Amino acid sequence: MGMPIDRLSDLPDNLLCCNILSLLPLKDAIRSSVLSTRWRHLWKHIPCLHFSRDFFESANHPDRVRSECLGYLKHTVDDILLRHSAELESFRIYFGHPLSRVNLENIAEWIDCAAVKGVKHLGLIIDFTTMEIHIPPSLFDCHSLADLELGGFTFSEIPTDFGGFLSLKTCSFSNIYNLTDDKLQQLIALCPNLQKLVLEACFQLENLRIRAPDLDSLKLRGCYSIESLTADCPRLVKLEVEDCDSLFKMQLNFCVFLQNVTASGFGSFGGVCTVKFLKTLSFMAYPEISHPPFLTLVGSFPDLEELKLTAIFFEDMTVGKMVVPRQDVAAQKLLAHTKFPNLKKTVGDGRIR
Amino acid sequence: MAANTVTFRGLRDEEVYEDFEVEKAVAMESEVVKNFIEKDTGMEPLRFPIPCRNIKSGKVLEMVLDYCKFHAHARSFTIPDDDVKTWDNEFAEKALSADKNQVTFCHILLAANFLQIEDLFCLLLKAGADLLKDKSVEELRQIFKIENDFSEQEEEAIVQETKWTYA
Repeated sequence: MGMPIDRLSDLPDNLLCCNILSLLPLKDAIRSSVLSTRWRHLWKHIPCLHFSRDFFESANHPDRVRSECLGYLKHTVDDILLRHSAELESFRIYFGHPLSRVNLENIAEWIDCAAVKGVKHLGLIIDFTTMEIHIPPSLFDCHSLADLELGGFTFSEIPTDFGGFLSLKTCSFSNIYNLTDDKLQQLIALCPNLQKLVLEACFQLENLRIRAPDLDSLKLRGCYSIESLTADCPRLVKLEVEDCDSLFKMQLNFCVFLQNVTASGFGSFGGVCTVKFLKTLSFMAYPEISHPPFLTLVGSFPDLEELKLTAIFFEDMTVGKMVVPRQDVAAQKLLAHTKFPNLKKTVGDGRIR
Repeated sequence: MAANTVTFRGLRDEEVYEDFEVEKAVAMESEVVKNFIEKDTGMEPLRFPIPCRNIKSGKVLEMVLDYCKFHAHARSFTIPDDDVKTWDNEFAEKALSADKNQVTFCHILLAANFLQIEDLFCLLLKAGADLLKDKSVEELRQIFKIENDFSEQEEEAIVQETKWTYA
């Protein structure tokens, strides 16, 4: 019948550590080792090690740096990784500002260690840096990766013997320097099971071509230099494009399941989209949006049910299923000219014109 | 036993038991029961009481089933999420304060694990973690009646090792 449970400490190990301790901030989980001999080694089996912003700020605090050393953060992470004895499901580390180079010295070894421990969720975020920090090659040894988040690194080369991240489902790249169209394409081609991709502030991308058979969600944000986007993603359901001011051409091939497109901050948009079943389309329309190309775009969605145009400088008017900028005469004209059989709309004072 | 109910039997030992009969929908909050019922080929599901050998006391089983009753009810009557959350938090409080050493809490947690009631399990895990968060070592030892079986030197060594956590 099992041991009698008299108190929390009597719970089986996997409940205590894998579950309860892993819900605590890392600091509290590790501190539990001093409670009693029973708790001494429990934290070493938690499946996730998250070195959050709090950890960075406390380890990098000027008082601490003065009394310990500049590389205090590095030493602490080294120490914890060394002691941690189980498999690692999730490893996340955040580097803020100011950041001294010495704290990054062992990143390659940390990733290596995580790779050996079978890490599935990996997050390495460097905030606010002008340093060029290259992605360590050991990243490409993390064969069991299901979820990857990188921020602030510089992309070098993909190793020639890289077999791919075969289990990778979600990938997010933010402020990644030197990530060119070719390299991204090459990487995605090696991740056949990718379902969700987020690209933020990657300024070397210009003519993006994404070919991903399983991708269902794509988000581009602040990629100011992207001019064209071609997506060969037969399973794409959701597309978000935000603040990509140079984007003028968007081609979504075979995207029969695409239901949801949210776009904002387009410059002059002249793209052609061949998407049949699109149901909802949201645009943040700036007053200067040039209409003929926009009409072409919007006209290629015969099944559209909801069209939302939001102009940030005007007071929005919500009418039925449509949000129309009240004072945007051009937008009003647009509505008068477009014919969407499935779009339920009333304009102005409630009468259908 | 009626066709729409399921009986859970809390077994104290082979002789002494306590039966709790609930609606089938309530019992299906348990993944274990759900799988069992769904695999059944349309005959009267579960003609016999489910023996819950690992659930030591009737009180624990009663509380677990209370949770299931509320959630099955909330599901079919679409009670707003906020109200469900409030109820959940009160339930977790009740579980934690049912006795001095969190014994009932532990037993309910184990029962949720045994019967695979995912939401209850997660709720209690979180409640347990919240109890442990941001407490000093002494407070933790007091609340959870943990006996410090380290020698002074051992304890000092561990504190040194983990000193960054005391910032």
